[in-house]
Amino acid sequence: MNLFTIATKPRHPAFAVTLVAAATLAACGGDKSSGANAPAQGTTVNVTMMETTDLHQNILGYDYYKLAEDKSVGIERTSALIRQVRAANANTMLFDAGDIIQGTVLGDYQALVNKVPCTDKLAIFKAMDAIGYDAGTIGNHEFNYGLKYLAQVTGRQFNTPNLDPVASQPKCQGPAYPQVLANVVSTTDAKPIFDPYVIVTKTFSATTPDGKTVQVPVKVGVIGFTPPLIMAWDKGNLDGNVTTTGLKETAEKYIPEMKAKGADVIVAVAHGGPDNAAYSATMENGALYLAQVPGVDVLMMGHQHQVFPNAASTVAAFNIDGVDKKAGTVAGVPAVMANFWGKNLGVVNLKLTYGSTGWVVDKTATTTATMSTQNADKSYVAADPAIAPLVQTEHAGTIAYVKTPIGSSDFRMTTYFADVGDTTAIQIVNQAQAQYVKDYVAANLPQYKSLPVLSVSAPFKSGFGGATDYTDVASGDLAIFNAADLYLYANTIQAVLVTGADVKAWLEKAATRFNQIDPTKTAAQSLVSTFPGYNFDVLDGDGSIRYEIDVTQPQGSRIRNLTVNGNAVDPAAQFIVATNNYRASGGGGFPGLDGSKTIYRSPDANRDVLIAYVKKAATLAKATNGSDRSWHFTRVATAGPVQFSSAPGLAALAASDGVPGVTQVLADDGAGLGLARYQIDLSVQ
Amino acid sequence: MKRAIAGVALAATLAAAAAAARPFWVAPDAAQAQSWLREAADRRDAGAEASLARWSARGNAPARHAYAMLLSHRGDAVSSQRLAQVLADGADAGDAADATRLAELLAQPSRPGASREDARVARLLAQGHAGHVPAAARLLALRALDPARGTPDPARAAAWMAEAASGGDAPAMFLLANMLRAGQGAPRDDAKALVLYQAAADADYAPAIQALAIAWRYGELGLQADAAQSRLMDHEAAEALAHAAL
Repeated sequence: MNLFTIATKPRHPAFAVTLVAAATLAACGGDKSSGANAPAQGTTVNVTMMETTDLHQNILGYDYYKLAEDKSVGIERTSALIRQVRAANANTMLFDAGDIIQGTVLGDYQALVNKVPCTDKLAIFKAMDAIGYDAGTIGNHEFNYGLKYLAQVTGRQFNTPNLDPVASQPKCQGPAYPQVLANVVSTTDAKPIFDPYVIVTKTFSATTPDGKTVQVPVKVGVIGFTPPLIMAWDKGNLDGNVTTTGLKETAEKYIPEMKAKGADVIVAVAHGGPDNAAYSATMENGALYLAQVPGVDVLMMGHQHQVFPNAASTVAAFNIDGVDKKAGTVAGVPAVMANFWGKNLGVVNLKLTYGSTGWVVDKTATTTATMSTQNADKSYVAADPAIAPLVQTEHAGTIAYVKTPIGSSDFRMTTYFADVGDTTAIQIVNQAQAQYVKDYVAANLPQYKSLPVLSVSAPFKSGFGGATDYTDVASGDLAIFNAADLYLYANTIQAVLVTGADVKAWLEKAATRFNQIDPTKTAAQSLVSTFPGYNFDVLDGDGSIRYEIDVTQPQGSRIRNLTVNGNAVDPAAQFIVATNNYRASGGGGFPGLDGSKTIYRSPDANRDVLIAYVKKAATLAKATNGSDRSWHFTRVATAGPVQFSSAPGLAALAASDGVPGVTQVLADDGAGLGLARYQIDLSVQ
Repeated sequence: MKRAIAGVALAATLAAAAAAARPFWVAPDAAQAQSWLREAADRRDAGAEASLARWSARGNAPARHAYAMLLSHRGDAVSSQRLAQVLADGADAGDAADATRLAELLAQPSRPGASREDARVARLLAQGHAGHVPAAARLLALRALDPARGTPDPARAAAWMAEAASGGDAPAMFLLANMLRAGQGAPRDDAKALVLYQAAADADYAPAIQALAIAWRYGELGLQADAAQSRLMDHEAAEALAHAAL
């Protein structure tokens, strides 16, 4: 096993001198408390141990789908917090608890699109090395791109069956800090694929009992763990190549070894948090049991994407016996979890006292906390200016990638008038979903091959945030980021088997989007209710479906003339409807949709299915992809105006998209969101 | 539990050791042993699968549960048929959880002849409910809401759903939250709905996380609209969905 002890790279000239002393002491060995260079008994050290976790390739505060700044995320701001801590205390260490290389478009770009070369360091590791980490572990998402890629970007060579012999593997650029992982072992040699632990010798400023400041070496042993469930989550990448071991027994094996090699303090860095389920060697979050292993002095946690300590937390994992969410301890061990995406920094202020057995953690003087990149006034700390230049090339490359055309269209896709029948931004989603499900049914569910496959989708962006909060994709090239505008949510495709009666009930629920209109009223009436636009499901069947919404009727009695291929829908007839997992599981409270009618749960995201459909189609035309008006309002003459709000100055767009009788009556509807007031003539629908 | 799996492990060792990648009989606990054995069987390790099937047929509950999970994971028609038999064996042996899972399996719309087995489903759910299986209460709630079975009874459904939710059933938490938002079967209670969504989200139940993402985006359920928090929930949902797909 390639265990090793390192001295940290000096960040300041002064450290170089003290490291020599540290090396000398380490070589002496023997009784820790009485060696020639041993500190006086009673000497104390205050050290601040910091943690980041679940960074998920969030380096800059930027949203690659929106192509806009997002100050709430990114290690460039966490770095500013780290600088603050280092300015306040010369004795610090920094650890990372994993899930580093995957999670943003940048991560996919470097792994799958424009693969980072062996000679280059992954962007996030460039940033982390600039910040300066002492050690870190490996999260479950590190395995998402396969072992070969993981070996490359971490600068490792794995002795696993799926890779070339170690001697033939290149030694690529990895992070400068040691990455440790004790509970993933190769099936080839039964040894951990990463070093299970590292012992880092730090030189800290200490205070002797008589008040003098001295420099002392402290050996900090760091051991890392990942959730054993990686064997299920990344089965395709890992099965037959590695196995996992349980946190508890792995720690029990290595910690005595670390102690024997001279570790004064043991820091367990676990990509996982606490869980009060009975211990299992395959449990996802085994931190509670890990903390109970003798010798663990500090616990750095992750994976659960939470803040710990947090006295106000309602998270179940932090409200169990053995976890003190206020004091920040797990099984009495000081512990932190630093949220995710670089939003927070975990901080453990540790007091060490030198005694007859060496350095001992004074738990009564130890505190834990997290710092946030967001200030009390909701502003954010300034980004560390040193980070952005390091990843400028990767950042620009990712932006160029999301702007890369995946197809083109000859029409503008918008939701400005989706409430009154415009389907230019919805039809293409329905087409992609329906085709995907049809293909699946044909291949896998032959008993349903004769059933019509319909699809529903909704105008996810319908003006909640103002005039810019609508889907608006210009004609011309379509890029990946446009797909996020067309399909906002991280849903996956599902297909449900429903009856004609169910379909009608579904549409009735969607039609509660509208207020009941009294045609005799002369005063203006507002068309759109408080029922959210994201639940206004529009049913489409590529020209086969037609229905009317009669807004003069009460809720539940508005769907009229529902036909498929010109025939009235039989309430008992069966249909397959392509939708998303949220709706199929009961999201939105649609009648009869509760998870029990699902016949296909796809692992694929609706957005990805849309991208694949556009790529295959290459060219989208309004005639075939954006003009099928599956529904319209039932014609009725109203004595007064029927009004709704949308972005200003777009009445002509409604007309060109096939929605007649729309006129703008007020450039500002007065709601303070920059929306205009329109009216629609229901007698010409 | 450990004693039971020891029996499985010892007997299965001879049959499966040659083909299994890992010596599961030295696993540190029953869960790990079952996991390794299932992994071996899932890799079409005939010896391991035969061991699971044999011990399942002999009434060994841990082996039956592991075998059922394996068959459920495969999902093909033959496995599905075998799964129904394995669960029926469990139900006959008085295993309320197996009875509930069988009821859910038989009621699946994709299963041919599902409607013909309605009476059997009802009996199995009664067995599951008597055995305090939370999912059984959820399935009973859904039946109470099904207009195909007569006039829906939302109040009764809400009571059953609450029972399932308090038993830790995440889908029930989510569905009950939906009912409370709509005032269906119980007075509207957004605050309680939010707590239920959060509890289901803690259990990694993706639809609940998605509901929270929407609630943060639009400022629903008493939350103050927060686009960043919504995006974070979206990320969480994507991760939960990826896990669920496995």
